Amino acid sequence: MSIREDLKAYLDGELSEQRAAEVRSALEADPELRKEAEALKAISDTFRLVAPAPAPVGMDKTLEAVERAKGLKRPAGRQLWGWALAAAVTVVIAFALLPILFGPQASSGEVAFNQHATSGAVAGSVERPDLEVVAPSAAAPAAQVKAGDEVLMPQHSIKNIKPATRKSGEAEIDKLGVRDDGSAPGQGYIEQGTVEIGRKGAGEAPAKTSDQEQAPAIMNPSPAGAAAATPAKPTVLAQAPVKSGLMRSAKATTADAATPQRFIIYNGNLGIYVKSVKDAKNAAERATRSVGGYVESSDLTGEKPEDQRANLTLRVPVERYASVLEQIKALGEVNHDSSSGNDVTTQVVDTDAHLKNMRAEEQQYQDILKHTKRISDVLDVRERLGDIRGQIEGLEATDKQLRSSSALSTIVVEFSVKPKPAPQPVKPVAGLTDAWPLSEILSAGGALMEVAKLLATMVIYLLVFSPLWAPAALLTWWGVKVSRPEYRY
Amino acid sequence: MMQIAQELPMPTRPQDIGQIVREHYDCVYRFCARRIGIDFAADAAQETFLTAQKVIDRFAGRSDLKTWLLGIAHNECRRQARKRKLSPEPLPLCEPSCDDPELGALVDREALRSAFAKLSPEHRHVVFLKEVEGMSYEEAAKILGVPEGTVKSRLHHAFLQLRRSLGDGDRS
Repeated sequence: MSIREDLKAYLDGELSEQRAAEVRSALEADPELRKEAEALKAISDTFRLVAPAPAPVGMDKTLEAVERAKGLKRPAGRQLWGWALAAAVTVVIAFALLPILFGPQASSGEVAFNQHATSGAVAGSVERPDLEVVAPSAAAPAAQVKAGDEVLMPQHSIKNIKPATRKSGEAEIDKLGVRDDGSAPGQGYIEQGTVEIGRKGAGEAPAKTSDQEQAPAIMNPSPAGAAAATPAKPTVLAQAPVKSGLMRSAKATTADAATPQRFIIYNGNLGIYVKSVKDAKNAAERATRSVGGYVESSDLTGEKPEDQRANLTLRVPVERYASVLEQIKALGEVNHDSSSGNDVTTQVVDTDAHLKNMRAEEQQYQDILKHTKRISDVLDVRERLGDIRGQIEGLEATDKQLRSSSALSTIVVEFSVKPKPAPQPVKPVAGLTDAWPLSEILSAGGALMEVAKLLATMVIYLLVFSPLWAPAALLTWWGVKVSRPEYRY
Repeated sequence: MMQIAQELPMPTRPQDIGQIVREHYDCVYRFCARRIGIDFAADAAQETFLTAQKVIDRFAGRSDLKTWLLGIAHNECRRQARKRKLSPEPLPLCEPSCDDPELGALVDREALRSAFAKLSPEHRHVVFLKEVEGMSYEEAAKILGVPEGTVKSRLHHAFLQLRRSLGDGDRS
């Protein structure tokens, strides 16, 4: 700074000794500088004399205020503001994190907390731990198709089937206890409904379905079956009540002749838990092919055996529908079973009748054509014959489609591995923890644990999200700190 | 006359806030009155001592108690001025006493008052602290919360402006 700039400081005695000496020397040498210094001193002196000095008031009130505040812990305004700001920031962050804490992750947490509630059992499922699907070995005899015999899966494919419907020394009989030659299927059908899965144990027959059998009727026999043998009398070997699927009568022979032919399109839908999805899939496909059917679609997903899932769409001859259905059910534990039957008999009959009439009309027009001389008449008749022929071909196609659909039933089956049940909690001694107040203590302890877990979860989330809220909080704290005077000097 | 800045010895902590009030209320009140006017000076002074009561533990003794209290009063006056949106007029200067031995060195009071009113609030504050309260540059810096060089610079410019105003008045 220049000498002039330090002049006031010199007059106030605020300069260092060395600098003061310099200014002093300059004053002695410069009259103008001395004049300026005198002017500054005069202003300073004058100001001291005339500076306003108002009479103080309010000291007594101040004394009272400080006496009152001696025993009180009144937070300073700024401190209160700082704490309020911190509380507001915490509340805002908590509300922002609430959707994260109590969002989709809660479902898994709830599952973890409520693991007692699930037993892992599928309602209505049938425990069949004795069943095991084994691929046929090379040494086992191949399946033999005998005329008139109902051929099921090779016997070695299913082990320890219970109840044991097969008797040693007898020919193959199906699981319904009926020896069927394959030519005269049973009577009646289940039009629609879900079969109840309520097998209570080996040897017991399941309850009847809600849809009872219709009036005795003969299903559409397969052409091969009808041609292979004369209508045989199905013999009921088992005395057990009627089982699921088709109903059969012991007097089918006499009834067969009187019942009209029906065309029914059957659809079955199964869900089965198995030990090996791949093996069950192969077994189902073999069963289908063994009865003359085919696999319409097949899908196997999953790499690990426990994660695999197979979806099959099978087309089987209608007379084998029930037996193949039972075979597939026997592969594992059924968790879903539904069947439906769409009766298209009326449509077939109508189509046949219409077809018959059209053919007769065609024959008439052909006869007319033979006797027609005039060219114009010939042309008209030919045109009409063309129309009739077109209609006949359309009806024939419809008739063929209905008959073929009713000849082959559809079974959609899904194989999967049964999910492992949740571990059962250790049950305390009966009655010991039910008594009050022990039960309340245990309940409160459980609630305390849940609260502690929740708080720990919140702390974890706060720590993980600290890069987001910590800078704002630190900035706020710094701002409050800087704005607040320290009063430490 | 030089004042050598010395490290003041740690004073004995006042035992009674009432004693502090009685000893320093007048000084604090006048300081507040010059800053925000007489109407609000009492409130500011009371808040100053209440704040001092709360933060007395933070007083490190590196300055005397008066400096410390005026520092609190400075912040309190700023806060009240912001809160009440005050821009008070400078207090009028007093009439000098006729028996004043330095009467001959006085400048024109009205001219000085007029020149003083033209100063900025920051300049007025340092002038009051130095010329009226007798604070050193160091103490004024602590009170105002600015570096010591800033106090020195503001005083220089304040007196320079006063001198020019008074010099123009003389010429006029």
